[in-house]
Amino acid sequence: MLLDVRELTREFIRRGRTFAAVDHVNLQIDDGDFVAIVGRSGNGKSTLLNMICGLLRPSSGTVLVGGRNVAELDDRELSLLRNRVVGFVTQSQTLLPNLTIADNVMLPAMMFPEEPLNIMSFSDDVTDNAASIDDASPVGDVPDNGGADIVDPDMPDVIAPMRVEPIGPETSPDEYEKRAMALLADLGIADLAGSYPRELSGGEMRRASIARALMNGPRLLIADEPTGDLDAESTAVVMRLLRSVADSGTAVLMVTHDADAMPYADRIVTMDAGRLTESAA
Amino acid sequence: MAAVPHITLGRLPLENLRRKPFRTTSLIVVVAILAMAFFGGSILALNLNKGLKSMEERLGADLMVVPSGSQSKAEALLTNGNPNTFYFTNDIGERVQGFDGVEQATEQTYIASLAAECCDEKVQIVGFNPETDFVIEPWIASQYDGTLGKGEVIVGSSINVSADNTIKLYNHVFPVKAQLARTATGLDSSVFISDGTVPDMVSYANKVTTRGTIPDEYADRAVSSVLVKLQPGYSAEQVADEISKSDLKGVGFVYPGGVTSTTKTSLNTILVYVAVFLIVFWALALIVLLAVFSASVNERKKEFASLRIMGATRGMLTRIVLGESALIGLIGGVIGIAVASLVVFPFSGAIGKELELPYLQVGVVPCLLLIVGSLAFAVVTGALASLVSAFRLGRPEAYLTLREGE
Repeated sequence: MLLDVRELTREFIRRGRTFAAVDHVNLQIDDGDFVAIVGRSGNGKSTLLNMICGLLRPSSGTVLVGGRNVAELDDRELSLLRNRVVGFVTQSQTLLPNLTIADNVMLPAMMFPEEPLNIMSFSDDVTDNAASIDDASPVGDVPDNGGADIVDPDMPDVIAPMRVEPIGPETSPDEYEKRAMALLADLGIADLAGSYPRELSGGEMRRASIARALMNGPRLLIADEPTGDLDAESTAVVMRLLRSVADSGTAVLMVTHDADAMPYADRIVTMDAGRLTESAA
Repeated sequence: MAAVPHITLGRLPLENLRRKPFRTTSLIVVVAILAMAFFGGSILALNLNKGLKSMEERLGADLMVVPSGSQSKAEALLTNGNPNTFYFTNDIGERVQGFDGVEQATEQTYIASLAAECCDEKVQIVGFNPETDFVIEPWIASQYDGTLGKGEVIVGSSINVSADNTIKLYNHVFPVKAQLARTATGLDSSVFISDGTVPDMVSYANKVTTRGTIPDEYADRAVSSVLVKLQPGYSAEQVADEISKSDLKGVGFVYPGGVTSTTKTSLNTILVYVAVFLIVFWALALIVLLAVFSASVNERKKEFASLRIMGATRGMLTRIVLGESALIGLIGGVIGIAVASLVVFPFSGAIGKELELPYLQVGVVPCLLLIVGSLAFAVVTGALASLVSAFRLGRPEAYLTLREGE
């Protein structure tokens, strides 16, 4: 079991009265599952996600990620968990404005240099492959940074099949760059690697955020309203992408109230007044 | 694949500063002014202190016995070096030596040269007895190991010596045996001759003018002052009182300790002003920096929340904020110290003249230490200013604060 949430509760005090934003929630997710949480705003969805990531402490109950109780981890262990096991795509735009898109994507991999990064990496071949695909069906300009867009005319913006190679302790910065560029290429925004977030559209920023969340090869990808401010076309692109991530073995937990996004999930659960109930997918 | 600019966590503060040029420049200017004031003020204080110390060492006598009414001229000679001529006409030296409490007494003769064609410049000529002197001789001996012969001179640091190592005084060219190091006292603009040369100097002077000079008849025995070193247990006032009560008439007294204490008082006043200015300015700069960093962290809540989501520990966030402020402190500090150095070092002489206080440039080592200290001060001030913000980011559930308003 990758994620095991048991009787999770978080209470807040508002105007002197205690209320439970998350109320005795139970949720189990395995590798490769794609679970959508739906519900109206203010029903505790984001609070639940933040507790799963260890960004908020629960009032009661437990969150086990990979068998480890999140509440028992210290700040460093929790941060390492967020950095290596969980990828988080936030509801709002949280790319760092002072960094290029490429640097934004690479940054999570730079946070614990002393910890070996055992992730599945795109190899050079993927990039080479991307270039050859691009040569065959040119789509826009390919920057000289080598990160060519991998574009399937029938199914754009879907992660390409990836060759898996573990990045061990001897990972060099160049390999980080290659991985970041390959991720951006797979998301169709490699040509924006040198741009700053303010130069991107909402959909492009969302894809860059997803690339950043995937940089360290997380086992669990959490997406909070990933299509909240996107048009139908961009919504489809992002959802196909998340589906593909789940298909490759990464569990996806998504909060949404976008009806167009729900069909991509394996399971849909509803959150109402802090309580979670299973719905039909 | 071409190289993409590569980020590291350590480089993040620099990138953040680089991408906010206006904010960064403004903060650097504040710190630079602070560092400039700190370094400039400190070097000023050190130089004044060194000047005072040097002055105290040079004015090694406990009591100066001078002709009555010449006290202010004698003081001027000690402090700002205004050349004067005054003299006794009696055997004052031997008489003073005989009083109780006098351990040592030595005579000096003061002759002012003229700002005229006869003289290279207007200087104070100080005749002293190398055998009995205990004030000038030890200082000269520390820099000139020969014996000052008849007709030879040693000059202070401010005296312009001609290329052939001579100086013309009253139409006579004197060989210069040595030029002394700066003392920040009137002695810097003095020319020293042995008592054997005094009669000749008087004679040369009288050939040029008879106004304000020592008459030829007193050339062999003209004494301007008797410098007294007291025996332990005696005060200068006590001995002066004894001399006044004696039959020795027409004498006045200068207390070099009093001269230095007046200077010390002026110096302390300046130092207090400098210290108050620095404290006020430091507090203002700290408040400005504190406000800017605090506002900046508020503006960047989302950015820090984002870093936390990516896996940044609370310590990492703190280091980023402290790193930015320390960088600003470092850059501002270097600029401030450089600007202050461009003013303080080249214009050291002018500053001393303007302050009318003994002002002596401190050596290289204290300067280097002060540079390091000023840099540390600037960096610590910068870091201190962001400490509150860093503390807020370091709290356990800071993420809640960071997401406020979303």
